[in-house]
Amino acid sequence: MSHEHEHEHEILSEEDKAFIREKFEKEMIGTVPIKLLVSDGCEYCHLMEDLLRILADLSNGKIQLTIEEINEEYKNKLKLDKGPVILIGENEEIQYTGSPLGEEGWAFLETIVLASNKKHGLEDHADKLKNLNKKVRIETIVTPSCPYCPHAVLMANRIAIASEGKVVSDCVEAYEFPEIADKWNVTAVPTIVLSIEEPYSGQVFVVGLPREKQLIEAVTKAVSGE
Amino acid sequence: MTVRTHVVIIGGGPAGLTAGIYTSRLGLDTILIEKATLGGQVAISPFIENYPGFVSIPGPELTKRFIEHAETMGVQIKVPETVIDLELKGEVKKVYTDKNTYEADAVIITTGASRRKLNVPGEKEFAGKGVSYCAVCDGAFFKGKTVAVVGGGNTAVSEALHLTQLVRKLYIVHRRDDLRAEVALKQRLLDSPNVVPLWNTIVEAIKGDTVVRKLVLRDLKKDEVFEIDVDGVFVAIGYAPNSQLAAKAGVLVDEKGYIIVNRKQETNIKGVYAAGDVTGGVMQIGVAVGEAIVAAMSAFEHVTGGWYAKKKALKAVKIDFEKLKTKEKAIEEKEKKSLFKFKL
Repeated sequence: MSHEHEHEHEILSEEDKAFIREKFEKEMIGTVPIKLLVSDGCEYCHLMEDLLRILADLSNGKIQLTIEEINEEYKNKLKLDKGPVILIGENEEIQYTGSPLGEEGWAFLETIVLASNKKHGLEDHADKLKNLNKKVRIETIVTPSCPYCPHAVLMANRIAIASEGKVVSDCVEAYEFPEIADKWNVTAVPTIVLSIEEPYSGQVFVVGLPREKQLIEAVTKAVSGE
Repeated sequence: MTVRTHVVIIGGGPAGLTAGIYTSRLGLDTILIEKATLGGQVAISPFIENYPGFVSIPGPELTKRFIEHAETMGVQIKVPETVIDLELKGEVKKVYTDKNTYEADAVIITTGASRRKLNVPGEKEFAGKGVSYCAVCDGAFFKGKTVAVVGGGNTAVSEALHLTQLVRKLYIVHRRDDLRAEVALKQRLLDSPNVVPLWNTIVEAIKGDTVVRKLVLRDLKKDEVFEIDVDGVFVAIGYAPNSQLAAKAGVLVDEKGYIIVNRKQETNIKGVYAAGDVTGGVMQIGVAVGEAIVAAMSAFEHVTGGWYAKKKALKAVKIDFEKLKTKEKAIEEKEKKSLFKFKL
């Protein structure tokens, strides 16, 4: 699958590429596995395929990219039947359901760097996250034009990294996956949904951008059932 | 962690970023703290048509340029980080955030203003379930649907204009019989085929089940209550200043909560300045930028003791000269390419 797809515009300008190459060179220490799940008739799968190939190239081998059709196992596990879905990290603890388009771009890059370094960068309160005795899913529902959203997503991604496998952070692009947005009656973004283990019986935690401490507390409280 | 710096700027909208560009270039160590997203209200403005030099530019794009400018000039930007307390009266100002403590010689308050809420039944209950304060963020959830925009100023009308391209029908609900917005905006909105103005009308309640379904309105002229079916409501009825923390720390505010400043953008506390929407007035980007420049110059004088007097030994500026050079080069190249200047 090494074909280049035709796009109306170049996905990344030479200036963008130079910026990303330098960022990866300077900031990425370790390697990071990224898996892209694609499906037939998926509007943004080709775009994501090309974007991730370019990023992997710019990372000089630090991004270990695999691209595959979404199979039954993933369909059941993720409760999704279409792509694009991006899974980042050894435990696939960071998920992008839909494309990190628009405003999400910078936080996506930051996430790749953090995941490669296994560094969460949370200022405080992060220790509690390692000792969670149940799995938590943080779904952050976003739109590409929302400038507040990437801050919320990055916060959730940091929490996922800090939890060492206990928390999965899932950034859901509302236009590509309206069924997920509708499930939680989302009409304003970012909306953060917290769910405990399977079967997920989550609830909306907040509409808007919480503080780091608030989100961490909400995660730990969700587990302890307080 | 406690960090010592020359200047702390609180708020990352146009005023804060501009103040940072200036203090940083003047050689002051500058930390800017923003709790949500850089750009403030501009970051969520669909388009800007009255900032000189840009005939029409999307708010997020202008924001990007401001941020890049501030970063290149060496402003240390902390985002998202929330200020939770201030101690401003001493010679060393203390700024406590949810992550750090900052000690500074001067503080510039550019916390802006937030959207006012309607304060009607249903507004809180349906926040994020049909009630929205950001058309740029949430507009597309209402594609092909019916929405109401409440308000009549520039913000309401430019958001409404953005929404008209997405929705089937848009009510503009305004308590007066004419829009206060610039004619340039007003005309375009009222000429849009899917816009229905409801004049002399206020919102009494928002109703729905799992999401918003109806607005309960009052016609002020007829003094009658009536309902309309809507899928969403965008609230843009003006702003309230974000000055609570400053006021608590002793900064004088007026009866509406706007920080009182003089022509040098000084507040009543020595070494504390304010600029932009938090000081009230006409709430324009250009004004925020201008006030911020004055505030930055005043802060510089305060920190160093004046332009020529005993300048404290300022460290080298933190400007990213490498980046600056690339930018200059890019502009040069662009000019080289256009050999003919067909326009003035």
